[in-house]
Amino acid sequence: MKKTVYYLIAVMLLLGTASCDKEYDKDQYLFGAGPDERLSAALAEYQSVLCEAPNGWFIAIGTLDRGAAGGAYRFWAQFTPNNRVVMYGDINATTAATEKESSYRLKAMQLPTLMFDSYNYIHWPADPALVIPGGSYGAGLTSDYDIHLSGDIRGDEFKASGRVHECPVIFTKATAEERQAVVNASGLVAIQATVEALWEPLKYPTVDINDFRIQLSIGKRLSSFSYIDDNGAVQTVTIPSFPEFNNDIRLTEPFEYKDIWFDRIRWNGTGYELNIGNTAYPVYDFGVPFYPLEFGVGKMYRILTIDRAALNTANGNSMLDPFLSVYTAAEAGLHTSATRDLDRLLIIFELNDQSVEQMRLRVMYHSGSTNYLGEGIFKLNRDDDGNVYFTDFVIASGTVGSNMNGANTGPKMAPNVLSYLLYSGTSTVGASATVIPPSGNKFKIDWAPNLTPGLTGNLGGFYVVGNPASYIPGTLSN
Amino acid sequence: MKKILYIMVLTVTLLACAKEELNPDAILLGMGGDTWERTELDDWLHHEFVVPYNMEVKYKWDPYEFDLGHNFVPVDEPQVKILMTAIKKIWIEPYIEKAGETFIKRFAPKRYVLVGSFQYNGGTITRGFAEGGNKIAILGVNTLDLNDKSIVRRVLRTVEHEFGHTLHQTVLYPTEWQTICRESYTGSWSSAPSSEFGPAGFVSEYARANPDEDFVETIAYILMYGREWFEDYMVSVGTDGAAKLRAKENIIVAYFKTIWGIDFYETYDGAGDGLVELTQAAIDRL
Repeated sequence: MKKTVYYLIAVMLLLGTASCDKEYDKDQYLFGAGPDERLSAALAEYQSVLCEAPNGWFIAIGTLDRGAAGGAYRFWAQFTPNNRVVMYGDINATTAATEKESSYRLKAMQLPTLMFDSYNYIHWPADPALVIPGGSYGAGLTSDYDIHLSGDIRGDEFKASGRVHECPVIFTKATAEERQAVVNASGLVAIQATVEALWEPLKYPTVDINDFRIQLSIGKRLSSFSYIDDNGAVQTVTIPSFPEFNNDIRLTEPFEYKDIWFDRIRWNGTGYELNIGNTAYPVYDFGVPFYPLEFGVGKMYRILTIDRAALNTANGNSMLDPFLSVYTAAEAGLHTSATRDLDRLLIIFELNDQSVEQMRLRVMYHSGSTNYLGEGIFKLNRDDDGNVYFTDFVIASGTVGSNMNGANTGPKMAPNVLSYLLYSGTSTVGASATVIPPSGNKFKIDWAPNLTPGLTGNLGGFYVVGNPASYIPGTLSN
Repeated sequence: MKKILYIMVLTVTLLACAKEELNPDAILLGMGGDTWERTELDDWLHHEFVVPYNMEVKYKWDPYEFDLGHNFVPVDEPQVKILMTAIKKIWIEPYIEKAGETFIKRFAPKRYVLVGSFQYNGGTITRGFAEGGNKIAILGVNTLDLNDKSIVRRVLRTVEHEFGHTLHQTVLYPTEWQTICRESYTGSWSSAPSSEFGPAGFVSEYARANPDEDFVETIAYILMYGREWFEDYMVSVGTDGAAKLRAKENIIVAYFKTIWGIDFYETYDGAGDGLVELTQAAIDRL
């Protein structure tokens, strides 16, 4: 016991005398300076880093809104030591061409924070008054303009995040050429157009990383990545992105799945590629979506819209013979009246009164400035291979005589379309009792190649089983 | 003996702990507020508001001045001069003419805090607020457009509204005020049908919130839209509403005269225009 007491006294004395050092000593701090001193030094350093980029900085911010107007907004900013900043923004042609000056300051909040403390382009995405159309009233596109800086910011690029919504932010030093492009040539929007043109020919940009396939959809501010997960389900990840001046697509946050990680789609001078590890995987046009098309009630799509004017243009045709001739004949059949024109056909899968799936053929046409539609119902059948075939055509009740502009219009308009679609049994249609002979066609529903420049969206096709060159193409919707 | 030894050791240990010294040169970051280089705008504000009225105009974004649960954007700098010029001409100068400079120096809020956007509350919009007679926050400054007098009136209405609070928080209006529309005040004013407030004797939906808001809303509306508007408005709301509004008007006129020595309306005893006419003339001249 006594021994313990002496040991205790010895230890306390040691502690007591050791703490007697009365001098203020910088060594008392583990990192050589007090927290305030270090914070102050950090703020000063951050400010000098921002100001000393001779050609300014690009600042890209990914909004939390991932709707039509959301995604990455990019600004070019030149900071000066007197708390002033001039800016351009990629929001529209005006913000890309007109310099705007405002103020900034660095403030010690929970983290050192760069505050753009008077209004500039960088505030537009966050403006609750919806200066940028889209987003939601009171929140704008949900973006940040107070930016937490931390870590090493001395390189040519550093990442940061928004103070309130934690939006991802990327700072990149501009080169002299980039500055010229921004200041003199609306570079921030010009590059969007340049890169859009590079992606335009790729209808279904796809990358195969060994046996893992990713399909890309690259927009001005958002990029989507679709793949099939371990459960066979199609997953789509949408990430804010922006084009860089070397034509690369830069993601504000990386795409990550298993051991695949990338935050950039690189332009190699002739095409795009993903660099993973030391390997470059080229982006190519797969021609159609890579995952299976599901068509039917309650599925991904249930409507096929067949519009020749949209599918076939001077620059390329997505509707080809032999179906093209069938469609052309339908147009000619309708054209018995000089003012009457076929606009489009719709194949619609739906449930009837007994909740049985049926197919509705809708024929939309106009006469003069008046629009009409004629409709007929087919019985929808599926065989063991998943092919569909249609039987028992009837004119949908209520459309004869009114919308179809007379009972004869349906068969007049499209007897060969009806025949093409009809698998078995003859149908008698209209007052003149036109007999529709069946073609015996069964159809496999799959993606159709989009061969029309400028036409966006996924195309589907009803392919004649046994003769895949013969198919009905159309745009898909639900 | 052993006890004494313990006490000595403990004393040494404890005293040793008290001997750390503060470094007098340590920087306490942020003490004294944020600093930045003054601009021409800062000099103008200093000359026009700080020097004559000791009134600070804080236009640089500071999230802690506003409700942290809402989204705002900062003020667009050119808007600051536009707003503050309007405030000076439409609010300060008429008061000075009727009540003297000392009045403004004494009662004017010491801090104007500005922000570019409104506060969106899901159904309602906050255009301004006052804190303890010291701070007045003006929201939506980026929307101000001098070419659109309706916007000027709406923004300045906030200023008059908040200053009204300062006045009644200094000397309360007669309690009789609270009895005129006692049964019509409601916390759920924003969801009440907008057709109700006029016939019930109020100038706005928000005036129904409570007697204090009613008092300052009535002052602000008459100052911003004028006496003629008020007369027309009374006709439009029907006899019952008009009677209540007339009673309120009488209380306001008497309150300004007896408490503050200000003619609210033009008098014909040689004093000339009242506060309302001077304010209206300033809006017209803008």
